[in-house]
Amino acid sequence: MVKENPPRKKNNPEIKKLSKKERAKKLVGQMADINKEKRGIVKYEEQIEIEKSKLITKLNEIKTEKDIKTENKDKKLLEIAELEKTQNEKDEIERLKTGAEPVVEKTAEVEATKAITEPKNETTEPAVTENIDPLETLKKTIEELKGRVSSKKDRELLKQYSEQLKEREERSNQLKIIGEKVKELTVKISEEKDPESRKLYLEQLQKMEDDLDKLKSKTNPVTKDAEPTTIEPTKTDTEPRSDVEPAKSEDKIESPADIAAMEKAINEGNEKDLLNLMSGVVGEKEPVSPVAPVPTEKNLIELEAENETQRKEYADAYKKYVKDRKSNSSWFTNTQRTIFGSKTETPENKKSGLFSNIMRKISEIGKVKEQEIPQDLKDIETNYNKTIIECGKKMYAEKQAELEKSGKTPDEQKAELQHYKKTEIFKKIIIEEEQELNKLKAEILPPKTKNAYQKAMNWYLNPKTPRWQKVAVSTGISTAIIASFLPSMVPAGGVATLSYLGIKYGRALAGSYFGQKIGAGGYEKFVKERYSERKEKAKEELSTEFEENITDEQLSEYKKRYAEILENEQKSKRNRTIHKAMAALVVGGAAGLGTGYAAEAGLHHLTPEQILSGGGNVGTHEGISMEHRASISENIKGRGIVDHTKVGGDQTPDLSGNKPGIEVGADIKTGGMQEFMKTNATQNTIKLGMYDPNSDAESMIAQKGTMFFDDPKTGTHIEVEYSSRGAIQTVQNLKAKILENYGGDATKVPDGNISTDYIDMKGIAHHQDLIKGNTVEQYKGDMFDSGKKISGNIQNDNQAPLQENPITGEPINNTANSHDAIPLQENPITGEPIDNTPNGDPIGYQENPITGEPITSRSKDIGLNNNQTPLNQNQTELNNLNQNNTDSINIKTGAENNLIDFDNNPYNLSVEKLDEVRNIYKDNIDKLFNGQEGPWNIIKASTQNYSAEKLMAWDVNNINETYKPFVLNLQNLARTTGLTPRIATIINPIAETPEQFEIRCLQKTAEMGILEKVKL
Amino acid sequence: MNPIKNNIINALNIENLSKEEQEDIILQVGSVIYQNVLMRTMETMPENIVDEFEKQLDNNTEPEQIFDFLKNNVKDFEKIIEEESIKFKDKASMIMGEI
Repeated sequence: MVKENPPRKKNNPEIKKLSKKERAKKLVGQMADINKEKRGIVKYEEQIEIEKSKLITKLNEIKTEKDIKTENKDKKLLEIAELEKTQNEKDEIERLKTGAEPVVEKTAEVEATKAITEPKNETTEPAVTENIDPLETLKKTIEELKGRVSSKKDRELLKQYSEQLKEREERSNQLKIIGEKVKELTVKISEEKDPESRKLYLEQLQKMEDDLDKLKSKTNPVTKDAEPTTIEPTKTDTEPRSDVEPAKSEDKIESPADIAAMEKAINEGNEKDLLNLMSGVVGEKEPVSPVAPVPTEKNLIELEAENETQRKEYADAYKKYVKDRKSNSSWFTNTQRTIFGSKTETPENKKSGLFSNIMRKISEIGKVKEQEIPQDLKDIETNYNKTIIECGKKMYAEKQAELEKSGKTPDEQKAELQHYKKTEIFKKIIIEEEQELNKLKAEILPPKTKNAYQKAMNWYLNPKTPRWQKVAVSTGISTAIIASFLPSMVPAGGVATLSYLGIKYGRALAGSYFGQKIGAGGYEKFVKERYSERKEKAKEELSTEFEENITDEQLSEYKKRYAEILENEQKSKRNRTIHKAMAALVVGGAAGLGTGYAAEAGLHHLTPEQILSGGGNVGTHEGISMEHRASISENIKGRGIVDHTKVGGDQTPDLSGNKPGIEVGADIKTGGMQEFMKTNATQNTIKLGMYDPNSDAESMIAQKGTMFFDDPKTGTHIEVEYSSRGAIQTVQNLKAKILENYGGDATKVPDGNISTDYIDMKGIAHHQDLIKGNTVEQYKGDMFDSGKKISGNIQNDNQAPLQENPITGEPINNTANSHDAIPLQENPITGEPIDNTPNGDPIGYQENPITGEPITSRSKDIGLNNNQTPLNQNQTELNNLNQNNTDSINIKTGAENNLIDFDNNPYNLSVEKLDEVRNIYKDNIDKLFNGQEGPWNIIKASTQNYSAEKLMAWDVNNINETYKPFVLNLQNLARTTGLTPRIATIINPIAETPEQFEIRCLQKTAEMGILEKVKL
Repeated sequence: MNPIKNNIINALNIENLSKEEQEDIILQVGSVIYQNVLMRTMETMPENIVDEFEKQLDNNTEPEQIFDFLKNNVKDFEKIIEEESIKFKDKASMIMGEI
């Protein structure tokens, strides 16, 4: 590729005329000029720099001179003021001598004061005062005095002024010298890098400062009278006073804090800080560079304000969410229109359970599922909770700080702090916070509803509302906490109305007696249900005793009194029922069942008189005449129902399969409601699939529910709640209510539907039709193994366990039986009844020690055979744990054992005593577990499931033999010491472990002096 | 002491407080849960029921009647009490546990 040369530019014609040599010469000349010019510029620039530096120096000098002048000027003004004062005194003397009128004139004193107190303004400052030299003025005054001395007083004044002059001249010179030295030192300090030298200079500086102070104190007014006018402005001065306190800046160097700060700065080589500090010394304070603000901890008031903002933000977000949710919920809108449009339930919307279904849905509005809550609302709530926590922490910290200064012992401080947390903090951040939040939330309610809501709250909060009513409401409501919080404590409170439907043999009495009846609605509810005839009287007593300041003891006493009345009533009823039950058993040929029942349900606790008083022996069926049997049999036959209670080979189950009396898995055609009403409740229940005597999981299980009859033609709706006695009783109750509705004439009961709404043990609500027209739809929910170990012949007999007297049709009062048959466990310490289960069922209920869940028929799922009881399951799981986990558990031995909770010494035992406790503890544990470490480690490793309180609540008769001795020992220790295990609480969510409780009990016995007695 | 109150006291770990303080706490906890239950039930209460409820309140009705009324007119009323109690317990535990 050929590269073309660029076209040449046309040259300057003048240059073009010159030869190359000439052109070069010319260029050289030009270059020389340029260089020369450059040099000139450089030189000029250098000159500028020199002049500049000179100017700067000059400016600095002027500045320094000006500062000194200003300083001198102030001093001079003060001196003049002082001299003038003296002169004024002299003039006054003269005036008095001559009797002349006083002359008011502007003196230098006034000017001096003004000059100091007023902001300096060079342009307005009188020029005359600038040139006044106090010393010169003093000299002049002296000369004048010398010229006209005429009295002794004048001579004295002259002498005094002369001395002052001399003294002041000396001090002035000294001041100048010190000033110079201070400046020199300041420069040295700023330049010196060596910390030691800096420190030395600083000391010198400090010394000079002291000298200066001394001199100043001498320089200051000679007489005290002069002080206000010469050094400080008058107190009545209304001028700004910020710059009239020169001592302020000097104070800085005098303060130990400043000296320490300077030393620190010197040691750290922090020149900047040092210079800043020194500027205070020399009066040339430089502006301090702004320091970044240090974040300060918020005080309680600020936190509360922040909390209020967060609360409002959360309430607003919540209200918006609820509003959106309602408006977006089409079904809700439709439902509202359907139901609320008519304002009432109508026969039409009662049909097919429509009303109850809709009402159920409506009731769910208030409950928002966790996953439905939008994340932003959750975030706002989290932030809100954080501020609440911060407030609580702050309150705690402030109280702690206050206590630390109180001089109280650490134990006293700790106790007081805990008390404060449980009362004041709890009230403030939990109670009051909730109340405030609810106030905000209530704003979303429609006006009418809000009004009612406020009335409802006022009703409670009104001081006129009797305290006993409030306690009753609070007790009734608050007890619900226990339902979720303290499963094993629930029965005593009883609000968790877990109705294990179909529980056989009425085992729930003990629980329901003290639990369900008392818990949910408090004593009023207890009084109300079933014992209406005593209700008014009891209420009257209760309200009277509750009216003013009822004590817990009184309340407890009342409860006991009432319980006795009811118990006596129950006993007589029980005896009657036992007779009937025994008769029925014999007639039904349920000898085996009777035996099993008696053995399992605890009938062996009955006296022989009680058992035999029915006229027969349970085991031999004696005591019931054959005539009686025949009449019963006839009676049953006459009802036209399947007789499952027949004795002998002529008894033929009319239905086969796993569930006797029904065809499993298929709808059953029945004779409709007529047949339902004629059949006994036990058979009804079996047909409905809610009871299966041939299965371990024989009974329906649910938390609660209702069963109801609907007549679609008339809209009749008859409903009963599930009975705690079980499904059979529930069916019986429904039938009774239906019968009552139709005037006691079963033939008038029309065909209709029987349905149920219930909440299962997982809290899931269900609706199920049981009978529709003439078709049975079986219950499809979970079944419950009550733990009844039915003997083999009974299982094969297809016999329904006795729940209803087939003779009379009355339900057997199993609760009464079991109430007596199963004695209430008593708290060994308090003597109060212990009910170990959440459902108030002390016998069959067993909690899975691993999961804490109630054990049901799922035992089969983990490979247990049918004969294994839930307790066997516990044991199996414990054994499995034992086998599986022993190797993996680190066992504390030797020195480590010394660490086992012996750090806590609640009874302030001596070291020796603690050693004794420790040794006995180790020996006892060794003996209790027969030298096996595995089981003990299992208990220790699973603190949640094996809290001391839970473990002690177990029925020792049913506990695995491996653990039984330990539990017994724990109970014995509790009895001996009077201690009870600490339970998990809201404030302290971790319950006391068996190990901790064992140790605490042993420590207590040591304190009581009976440690040796509990040694095994 | 009656077992109900005893258990509440244990649940709140306030057994070491004086009787007055214990009762005060119980009253206040009950008040808050009652308030929460009311909030929840009344949000969905039909107008006619609200009217009736208001009448009950105006008549200075006794506690069990108030509760009977709510129980009869609010589906799953007892369950709501339990749920609100659990919510209260959970929140209180969470907050107090942080302090």
